[in-house]
Amino acid sequence: MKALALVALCGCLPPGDPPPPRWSYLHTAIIAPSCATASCHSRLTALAGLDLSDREGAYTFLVGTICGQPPRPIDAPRNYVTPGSAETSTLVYQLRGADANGRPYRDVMPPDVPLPASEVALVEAWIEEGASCD
Amino acid sequence: MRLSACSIAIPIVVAVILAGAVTPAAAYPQFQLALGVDRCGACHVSPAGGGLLDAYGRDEAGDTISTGGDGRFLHGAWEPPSWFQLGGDLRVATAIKTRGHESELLAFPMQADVNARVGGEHLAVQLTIGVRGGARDPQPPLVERLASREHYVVYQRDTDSYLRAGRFAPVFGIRTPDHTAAIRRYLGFGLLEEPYGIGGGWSGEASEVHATAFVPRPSDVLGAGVKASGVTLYAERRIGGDTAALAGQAKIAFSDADAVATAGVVGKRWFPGARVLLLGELDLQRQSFAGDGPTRYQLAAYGGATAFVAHGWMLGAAVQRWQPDLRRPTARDAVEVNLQYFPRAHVELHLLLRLSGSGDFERPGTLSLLQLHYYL
Repeated sequence: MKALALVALCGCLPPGDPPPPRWSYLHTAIIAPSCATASCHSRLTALAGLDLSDREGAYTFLVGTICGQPPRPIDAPRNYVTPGSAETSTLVYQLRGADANGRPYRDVMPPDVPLPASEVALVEAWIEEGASCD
Repeated sequence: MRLSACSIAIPIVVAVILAGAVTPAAAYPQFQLALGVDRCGACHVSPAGGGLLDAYGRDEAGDTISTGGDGRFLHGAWEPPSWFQLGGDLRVATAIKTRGHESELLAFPMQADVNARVGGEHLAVQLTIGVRGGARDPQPPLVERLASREHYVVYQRDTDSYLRAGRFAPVFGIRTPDHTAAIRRYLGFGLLEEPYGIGGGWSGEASEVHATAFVPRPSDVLGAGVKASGVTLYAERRIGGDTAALAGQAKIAFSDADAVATAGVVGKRWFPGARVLLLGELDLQRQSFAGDGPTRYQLAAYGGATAFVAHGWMLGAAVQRWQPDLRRPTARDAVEVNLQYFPRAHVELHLLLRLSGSGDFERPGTLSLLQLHYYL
């Protein structure tokens, strides 16, 4: 029944490109609505010192470099995203709820409802492709 | 009426406990139709519903909703002048959250809001201000958690029509106090996401219409969520001798990051014999990302039933769904049970049990939340 309803609804929709592993999409589609809420990582609250409300700022907080600029020696690398390596990125452990060895990881995010696996995979793809700021 | 020591002590104790707490002060959408009133504005000062109760709403709080007590401000100990109406919402909560093998015990101040209306019959200023609550530490200092979700000037030509300008929640959807509900959180109506705008509405014998044009908040310290400009429209028709209501709604919003067009329906049906209210909302949303970004189609849905099982008791169940892209099998779902008890006017105990997860509950989580709510 559920599948039928989905087919009926989706059948009316125009085909679309798959979601791109680009920061501009990830921030608007996933990070902002799931993480930058008033009580969590918004400008208002900035739990754990993280303000993920705007695109450039969130990028700097997670990746450790300023959006649009190459890494500089004085930029202290954050441990949330390691460009080119999803398997060593803390952000991925938090979203998956498991570390690189599959062991349960504390500080799972978001703490209320987990992201769907396809959205976590998109974040991983973005990191694997270099975590650029476009 | 004499004020008992208990009725004085309760608000003071709760206020002291809460000297560190906000969340949503919305309405109880189950009360429309079920309590013999056809529209939200019948019990609330705002003709759009929600927030500060009017004299009729306070009377109902004592006689109809709970098992007794005086619903007036400060239990009737002091009657404010007619140009000044005051109220407030205080909530404390404790919760147990589980996800996988992890569990988390939380106890936190949830809400400490003051609601005020100053003005005459036609022109007034309304304000809701409080201290934001927070379930997890560390929270910002108290002064940085002060927030005003609503502050606006309202003009009412008569009881049937109004215009307002300022910051307020546009009339849209089921206005559940639960700001984490899919129909609020994922449609841009989350906590402190109220925009600035101008709005108006009209209510008739069996229908009402509300419209709002809004712009982004001027500063990030005023709220959260996407900073967008746009319009909302909500039109409701009551049918079946005021035992049912059906509404259509739409929203268009533009920001630097995306453009969103939302259309939805809201329905309520009251079964007086069984004393059960069904309510539901279904929204479809088209989101286009800026630049050469893609377009996706989303769905937000809420369906619930509330039984008024005994005087002062409500038992409800609801299902929720958020589908961020209808062309892909990705969803966040939740099922929940709510038990609400109103022992006396001004007091509510609310137990929420929720199971939520992504996809087919591939990584389910549970929430058990008990909140004590005192309203002035």
